[in-house]
Amino acid sequence: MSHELDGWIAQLRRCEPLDEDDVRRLCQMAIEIMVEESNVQMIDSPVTICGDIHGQFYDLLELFKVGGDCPDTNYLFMGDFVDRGFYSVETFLLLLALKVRYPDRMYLIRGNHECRQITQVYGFYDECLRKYGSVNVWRYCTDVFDYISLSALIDNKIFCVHGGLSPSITTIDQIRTIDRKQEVPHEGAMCDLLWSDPEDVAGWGLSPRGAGYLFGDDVCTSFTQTNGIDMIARAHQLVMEGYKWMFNKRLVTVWSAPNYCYRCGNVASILELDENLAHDFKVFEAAPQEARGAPSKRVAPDYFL
Amino acid sequence: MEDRGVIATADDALRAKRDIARAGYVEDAYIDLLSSRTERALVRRHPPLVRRGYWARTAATRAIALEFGSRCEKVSDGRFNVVNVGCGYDTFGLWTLDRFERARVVELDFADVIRARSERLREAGVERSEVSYESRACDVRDVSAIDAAIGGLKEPFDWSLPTLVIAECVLAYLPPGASDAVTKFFGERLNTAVFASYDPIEPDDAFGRQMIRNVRARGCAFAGIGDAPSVEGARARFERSGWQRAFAYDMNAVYARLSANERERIEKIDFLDEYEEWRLILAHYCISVGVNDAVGALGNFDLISD
Repeated sequence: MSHELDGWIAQLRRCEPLDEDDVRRLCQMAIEIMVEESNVQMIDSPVTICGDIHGQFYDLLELFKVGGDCPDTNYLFMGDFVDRGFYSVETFLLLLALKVRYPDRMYLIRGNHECRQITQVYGFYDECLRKYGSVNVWRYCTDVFDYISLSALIDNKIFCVHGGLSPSITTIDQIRTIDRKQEVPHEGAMCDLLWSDPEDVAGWGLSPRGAGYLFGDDVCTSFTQTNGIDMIARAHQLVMEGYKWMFNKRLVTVWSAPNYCYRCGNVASILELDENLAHDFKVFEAAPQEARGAPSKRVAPDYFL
Repeated sequence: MEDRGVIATADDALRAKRDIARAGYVEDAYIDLLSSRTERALVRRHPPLVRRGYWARTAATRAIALEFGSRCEKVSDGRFNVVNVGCGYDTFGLWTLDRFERARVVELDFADVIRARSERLREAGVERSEVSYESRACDVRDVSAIDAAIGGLKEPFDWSLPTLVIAECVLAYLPPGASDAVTKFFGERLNTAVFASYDPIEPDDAFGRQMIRNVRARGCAFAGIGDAPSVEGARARFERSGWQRAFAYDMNAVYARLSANERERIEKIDFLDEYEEWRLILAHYCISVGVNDAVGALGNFDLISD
């Protein structure tokens, strides 16, 4: 089986999508592993934390160049593998194949885009249809989405989640009790973990996104104290410098999609944690044009013209 | 300036505006009629951010027209001119005529665009008297061509009437230095007038540099963006070209000034999940306005809508 997986990984690294039936089998294997995983995955350092990727496949290869290959480096990807970029299929399948091949070296948690509804608006659905001529691959992948874990805890000290906190969650133990194997709901704890944003507010605020909440310094401080953790690492928001500390370094946003949507001009970063949890951000730019494979008929990014 | 690339931006704007009309962002009775037959068969669903941004631009220019037109009820018995510089396939002129029957609309753009839009309107049976509606071919990079086009209108242009000049994503495409000549041309001839321009700004930060690279790659470089590279610079363009008063807002500020009810309505149409990107792109566009108000007819004219 690992021989076959290695073949798939090699193929995906060349940015070549798998056959539909191989996708089906890979997704089945992934579900068998993920169904056993807790909503809060316990991870030991050293590990490298990554934020949103959004189908920017060649920039993901750049990330591995900067951070080291899996399994030489342990990785935690905090969701939003798909949508927006041109290669959501290849990006998600490569991460998934690495997960299946090296389950204790590659950790994935779910982002708000790992969801049937959002992928129909933001590109993954259309990409599957375009590349396979049917929605089967989208179905296999979105079935996997329902099994992806919701959060991670590194050395019991760093809590990692895609979006942020929820007013219905006080303790990390409460997260363990969520029944996550479903489409991301429109409200409630599971939704909030994937959708919320830290903000300069007191307590909780309404999110302009229409899902999740804004949470302030006080909320973050009481969550870290209650749970005896040092900090929260999350993704979900574009930061032009690749990462951003907030709340007295009790929270960090990590963003790993350089030149997001081929339009934003931002740099990306990954957060390397050594065995003592000392952190080191590696900042990187978009893969150079010549590393982006054959020029395909890409859609130019939209502006107001 | 690469003509073909810039002319193609009229098609881009048309597609986007047709998409937002179909999706229910704006009512637009003419946008389908202005689309080519092949275009009408295509549906390109634009991303929510693009839809919302085009809505903001359309809502803002319409709000300016409503504000201007209603002030003209008192000063000129409802008579006023609208000049759309680089009109593309805008329906703005026809939309204004439907609301202000004593308005007179002049549209200027490249000959190919004017020919196509006139043909499509004729085929659709949209007819307006030349007294109130005329489109003329002219190269708006050249003020003497604008002068000649307006001078050559079948119905003579009354420069003494209140006049609203609109340039929607036009001035930034002009060669460096050329946009000042355009604002100056209208500023010097019009006593009671508003010139409203919608433009990209901030070409020198990280997002702006990428924007410049991307639009250059699609063959429609913002050649003149350096003439008004910021909100402040866009306001200054009107001041240095002789307008009595000027103001400008970036599109985040414009959006906040649009009708709260309308915003609430359109924000429900699509789910916009990325606010950082939204704020970022809006911070790279602005509306700047020059006001000439020799007889105090326009008062505290500003961009507000409610």
